[in-house]
Amino acid sequence: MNYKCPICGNEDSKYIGYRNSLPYCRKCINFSGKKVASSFKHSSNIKLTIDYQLSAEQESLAIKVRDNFINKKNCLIHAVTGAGKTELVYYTIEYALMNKLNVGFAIPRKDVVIDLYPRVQQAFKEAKVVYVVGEHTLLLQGDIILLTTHQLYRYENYFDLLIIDEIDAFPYKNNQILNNFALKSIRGNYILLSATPSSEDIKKIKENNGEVFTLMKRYHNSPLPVPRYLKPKIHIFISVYIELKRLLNRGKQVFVFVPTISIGKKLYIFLKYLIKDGKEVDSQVSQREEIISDFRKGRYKYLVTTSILERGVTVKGLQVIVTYADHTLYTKEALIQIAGRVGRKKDEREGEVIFIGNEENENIVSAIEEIKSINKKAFL
Amino acid sequence: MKISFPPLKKLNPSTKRPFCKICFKDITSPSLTSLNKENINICNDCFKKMEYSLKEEIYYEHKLIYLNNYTPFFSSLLIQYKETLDIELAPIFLERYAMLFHLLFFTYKLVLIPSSQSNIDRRGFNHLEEMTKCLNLEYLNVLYKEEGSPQKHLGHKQRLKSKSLFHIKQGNKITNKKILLFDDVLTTGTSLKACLDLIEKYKPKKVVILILSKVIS
Repeated sequence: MNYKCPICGNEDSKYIGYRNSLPYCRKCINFSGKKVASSFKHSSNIKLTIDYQLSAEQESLAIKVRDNFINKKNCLIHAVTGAGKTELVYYTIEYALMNKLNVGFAIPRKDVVIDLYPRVQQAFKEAKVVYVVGEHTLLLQGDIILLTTHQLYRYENYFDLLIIDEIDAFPYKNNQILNNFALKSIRGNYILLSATPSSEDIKKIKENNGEVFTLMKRYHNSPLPVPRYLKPKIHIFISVYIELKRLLNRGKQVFVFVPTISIGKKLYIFLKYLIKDGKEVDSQVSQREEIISDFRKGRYKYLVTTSILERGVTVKGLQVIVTYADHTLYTKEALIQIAGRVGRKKDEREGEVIFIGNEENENIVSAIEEIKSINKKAFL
Repeated sequence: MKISFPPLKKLNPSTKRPFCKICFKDITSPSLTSLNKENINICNDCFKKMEYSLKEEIYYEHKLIYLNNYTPFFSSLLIQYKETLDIELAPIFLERYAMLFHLLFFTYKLVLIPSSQSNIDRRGFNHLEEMTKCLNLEYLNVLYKEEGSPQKHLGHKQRLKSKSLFHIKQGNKITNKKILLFDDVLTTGTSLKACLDLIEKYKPKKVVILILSKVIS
């Protein structure tokens, strides 16, 4: 007997259970919570107020994106890391809010949603902005709903404009359940954002009444920092220490990326005795939001982190070291994302990205090549 | 000399390999449970996460056995089972202790703390009964629960005050029997104490209480 879950589309018999001899899906069973039932009364006269100037490229692209939405079309924005992707959709959000449409902004990572919340509220001061993430789900409706892709199941056939950022990020990427929830939540059109879309993503959007827009330049008109590969001499930890010390002596803050939690713990034990004012962060650390905000305030000089901080984080004057850059978890896209943490602020445009790994493998080479080619395209 | 091996026996492709009901990974290293049971439902890693360890206490002059201190992982499993009605999880709670409890209590009759009819209807199954099926003990359905407002929103004091909703029918069934009284979670003990009082009126030979998880406040 074949049973297909009506909610997540699962057909694998492994995930199907039987309750009183009726089939039910166990894959999406934990996505059961309060759903949005009633319609929301939108506030009127919401204006976009930003106290900085969009760059010429941002401005023209943002208008294109808005016109595309008015024409009832979908789109994928392919913009380099630090291009100011969020700003590109502001005009579209403004247009949608003026017409009292339901607006959602979904991101796979919880930390990034929380990070984005004050920025969006700042831009749309009169709007009621809510964020919906795990363990923060009391208020589900607002003018602008920021949410993780995990929460999309609550909004069936709801959004007239759904923006999905970082579509190539774990856990959204290649996740049948989450992709299905996203599709089901859209009533109108959607905008996908990514710095590293796959050719499949581009193909799919073109098939689905969509356009692809690209922005290869950062908003402050400076090129992306090009990573440098380093082969460790004695032991990888010692090389990390030497590089870290050198960067810290310049008065910069540093993220040290590690592929796994256990490596991170080991490395931090080693570094802790040599350099003070550090911290280790991973998905198991519950107070990580606090640690990150403390880091922003300059309380810590460096953070040893897993891939949870690989996206969406902007810290002024940040430098990056990637340990075991040849680890299989570091795909080309992940490395480009990590390199994109550096030089995002207008007054700190440059910085160092160092990949340390025992072997200069294909992912490292192609990530560096791609960053170089993007810079070339942007500054012809 | 040439050694020839007999051809390997072909496996029927439809033979399902056991997989863990929690993490959905194949169960590759079987436990002691698989010796007497064909269907195993939980892998070693997930079992470890449940942090079971057998503990004993005296509760109103009766032996109380419990396995867990209501750890977050256990609590999430129980919610998934009881509230999102994931009945496939039913066997995992006692599976690893089924053999032991069957041996310890095979002369006992099992009495479950009752749920109200509306809860049973809502779930479509009796959650305690499904959990304890693997123990292979005989049930005595003597306890019943009236409909009443749910307890979970009440504080400790209010719970103690609220009138007991439990009552007993055909109580003479348990007279002179060894009784194993079972519940999933012990919080304040209001339900348990009420049921214990009802049972004691009919003079059972012995009462042992089995609880999955005890909330330490």
